[in-house]
Amino acid sequence: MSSNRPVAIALVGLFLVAAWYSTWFEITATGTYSEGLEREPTIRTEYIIDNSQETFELSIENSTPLLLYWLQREDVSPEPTNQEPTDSEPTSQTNSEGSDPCSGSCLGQARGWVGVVLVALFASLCLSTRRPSRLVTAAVAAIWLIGSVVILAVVPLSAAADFGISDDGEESSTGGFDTNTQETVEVDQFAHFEAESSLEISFDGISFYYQSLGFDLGLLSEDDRQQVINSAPSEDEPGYESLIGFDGKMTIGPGGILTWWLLTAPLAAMILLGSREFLEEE
Amino acid sequence: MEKTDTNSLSAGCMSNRILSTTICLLILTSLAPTAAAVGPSDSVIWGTSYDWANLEGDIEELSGIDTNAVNEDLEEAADFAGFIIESDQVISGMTQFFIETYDGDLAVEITDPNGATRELNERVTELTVRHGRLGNIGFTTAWTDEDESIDFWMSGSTEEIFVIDAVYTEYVDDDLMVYGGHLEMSGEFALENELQFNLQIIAADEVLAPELGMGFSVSFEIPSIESEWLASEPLDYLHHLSAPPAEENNGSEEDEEGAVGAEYDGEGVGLIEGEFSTLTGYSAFLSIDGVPSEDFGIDLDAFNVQLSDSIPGQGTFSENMTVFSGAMWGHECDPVGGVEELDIDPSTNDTISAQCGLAPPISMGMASMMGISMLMAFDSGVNELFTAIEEQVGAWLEEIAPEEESFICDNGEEIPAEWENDGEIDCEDGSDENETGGDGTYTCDNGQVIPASWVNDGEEDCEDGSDEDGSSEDVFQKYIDMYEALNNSNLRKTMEAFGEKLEQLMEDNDPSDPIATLDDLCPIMFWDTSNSRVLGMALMATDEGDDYEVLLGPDILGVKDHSYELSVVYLTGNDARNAKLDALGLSELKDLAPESRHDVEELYDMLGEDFLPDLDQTDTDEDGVIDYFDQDDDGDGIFDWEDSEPLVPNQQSPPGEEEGTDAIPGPSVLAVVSMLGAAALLMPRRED
Repeated sequence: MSSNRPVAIALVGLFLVAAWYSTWFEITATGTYSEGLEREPTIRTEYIIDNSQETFELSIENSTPLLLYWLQREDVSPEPTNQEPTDSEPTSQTNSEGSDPCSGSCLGQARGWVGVVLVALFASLCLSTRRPSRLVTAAVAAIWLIGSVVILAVVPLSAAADFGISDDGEESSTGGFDTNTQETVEVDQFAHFEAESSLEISFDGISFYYQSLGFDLGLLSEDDRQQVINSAPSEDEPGYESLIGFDGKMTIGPGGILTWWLLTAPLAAMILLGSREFLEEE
Repeated sequence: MEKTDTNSLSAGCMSNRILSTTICLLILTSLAPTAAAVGPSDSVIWGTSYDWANLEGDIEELSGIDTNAVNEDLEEAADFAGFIIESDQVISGMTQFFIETYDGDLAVEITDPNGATRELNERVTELTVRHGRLGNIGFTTAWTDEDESIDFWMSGSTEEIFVIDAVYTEYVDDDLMVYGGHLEMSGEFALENELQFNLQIIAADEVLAPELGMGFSVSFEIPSIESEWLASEPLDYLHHLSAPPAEENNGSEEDEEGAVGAEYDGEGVGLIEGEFSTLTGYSAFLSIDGVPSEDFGIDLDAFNVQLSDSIPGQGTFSENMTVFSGAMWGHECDPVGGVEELDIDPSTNDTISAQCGLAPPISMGMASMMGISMLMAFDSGVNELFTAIEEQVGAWLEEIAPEEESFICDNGEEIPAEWENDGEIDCEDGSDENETGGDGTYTCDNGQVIPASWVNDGEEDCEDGSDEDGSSEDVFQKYIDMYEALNNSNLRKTMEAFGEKLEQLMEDNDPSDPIATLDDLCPIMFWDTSNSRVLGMALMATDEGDDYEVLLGPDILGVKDHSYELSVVYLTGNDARNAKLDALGLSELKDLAPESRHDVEELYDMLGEDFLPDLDQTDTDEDGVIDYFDQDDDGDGIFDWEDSEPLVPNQQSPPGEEEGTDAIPGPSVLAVVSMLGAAALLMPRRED
């Protein structure tokens, strides 16, 4: 087995280089306006992180009705209250600082971490062939696990942190769309809003499915809004034209880096096994 | 679908040979494209044809400017100055149009708006337009000093197609009074432009390497428009236009040079009704890469945005018909004027008399019907698009419009914000100059006095730094340093040397001294007074002796032809008839401007792989020229576009079309090496 180790080490090196140059993290999303707009406009987005840059792609098919919708709708969100923040309430400035601990360079730091674990794994495997010991074996296993955490969690979280997304308990933009309480219309822009979502885990990553249907009050004149809020119009009634349906799918997953990283595991195991045999022989 | 229908119908036609043959012929006739017809052999037909591949040669012939020599001069001047410039452009494609007019064989019965039935004659005009063009342009430059360098790469492309087939039937009586018309037309207009820039500047130990790509396309297809117009009363515009030169009549007016204009103003001359189907499309993309977005607070390094839509439209319309027309006879276009003898059909050598002047090449009834019909069809699909664009642009303009910031003085007076602390007292109470002295000075916290203009200029001028509040510690300092580094390099001297050398080299390519004087270009239409129709047209230009000669047009007896080697061809008679027949079969860009005739090999050599990133490198005939650039794939000496049986290269994805990217991630070479490595590991070794 020991004669195979140089080949295995070379392959691990190759896989790690491939991992470094492949896609690290990928979000793809597709959303179709299934109700309310002509020709079902579809939005496709792709967000990719690799070793040097973040790439964002957006395409809108059958874009004219969607552009018209966005342009013609009126913002009906309630006016923000002009309440002075008290000493006990942290200001938004404080909040944003708190949610961005690395001053917008979290991803840069994460890239550094990925580089470090890739180099560390290769170095520790090399070391295990030269100076096999249980300590080195444990170090290889620890580095591999840390690397997995960095790839699966640190990279996406750092990207999210750079974007200013944080788990600070703020209400999401769709959080209040609920017809049961009949209060949603006071804080949100849709009436009789219904949404369903589901989650699926596959080799591609985690897929979220989302469907929503509701009457966009921003498309209605001020006089008609209350009528739609009071009762959902049926197909032939005025106000029905504000019904907007949206079907979306978003897949979040690590890119090619995970495949290459996982491929290093059996090779690392093979190298470490060879080292163990060597230790036992000694 | 059409094929299936035809087959099934043909099978059914077998039982009764005569009847079936007749029915089959009728069906086949109905399957022919609408609005694409060929007139009788005695029709009046004329048109022009131009091959865009000859544009550079024609420009040189007329202006004396050799565009290739200009490119070479640019390169030589740059070489002299110590840097590199390369540029090239390729244009190919074809433009043809034909106008054919003839009298219909059959009389037609028309019920006029008053309910009276009239037996009228048909005058048919067919308009055929084919235009397809491909264009590419490339430009690269590379300059380097000891520590600084600039590399610039640019590639642009354009694709155009314009196809019109229109058949107009005008209803006239024996006195050429017009009672209405019928129009059938189809067409397509499409335009696509793309531009890509790559720039790399290295200066002051900084690198700036943005890549920018943008493009848009618009298309408007008219599968069919059919409309009919019935005049509310007989119209005499054909007579009106036929008025002989210098004869005064209603609406005629003599100008200073003795030309007589005949105008016809017919508003609300009946109703035009019709139906249409259209398909309007557009797309636009913008991609940016390598922009230092983090300097501007954006967390994305590269982004690509694309919008597209395809809007089907169909409907009917009913509008008031308007016919405006006019002609001008007797205008000076020496030696042509008055009545001339023309050789209207080179195949017969017959000559014909024609009145010379300016007149609409097609019946204005046809022009009006086409205009109104297309406007109605265009409005249905594109109105939605234009509304969206207009509103979007309006919203953007509103967003980017600078807000007029103001400063409120202590006494309530309002002044522009930039007047605050500008060294001049603008508020009556002087409260706008509370930090700086009224004499244009600023007092630092430590008591030091400095000019007010030094405050927040990016440099600490007060010893305690109190003149800089940090707001000017901007991200642009890096770029200012780069600019200064370039300014201190030999770039300026290089550009001066380049300009001087280029001026010297361009002396023999001076565009201010053209061979042909196109300023004196003079168009003429030839009018058949007996039938009130245009027989053809000519473009006259002056030669070196300032004498007019026919630049484009039929042979005019007694008038010399031009002496230039031009590729634009004027066609009449059978030549035009045959060319039109060929043109009717060409309706797509790949036919009108085939890529096989668009030779971009030199551009590829110049711009490299970024120009055609996924170019298929297959060389089917193994002659060292890959199929994409090989104009004679089978090596039989006949260009592929003229070869009835060209060798079909391997069917592979055309350049630019990526194959599926769902494969296992990673470079394929790497995958192969990995597999070999894995095999080496897993193979049982001899000693085992």
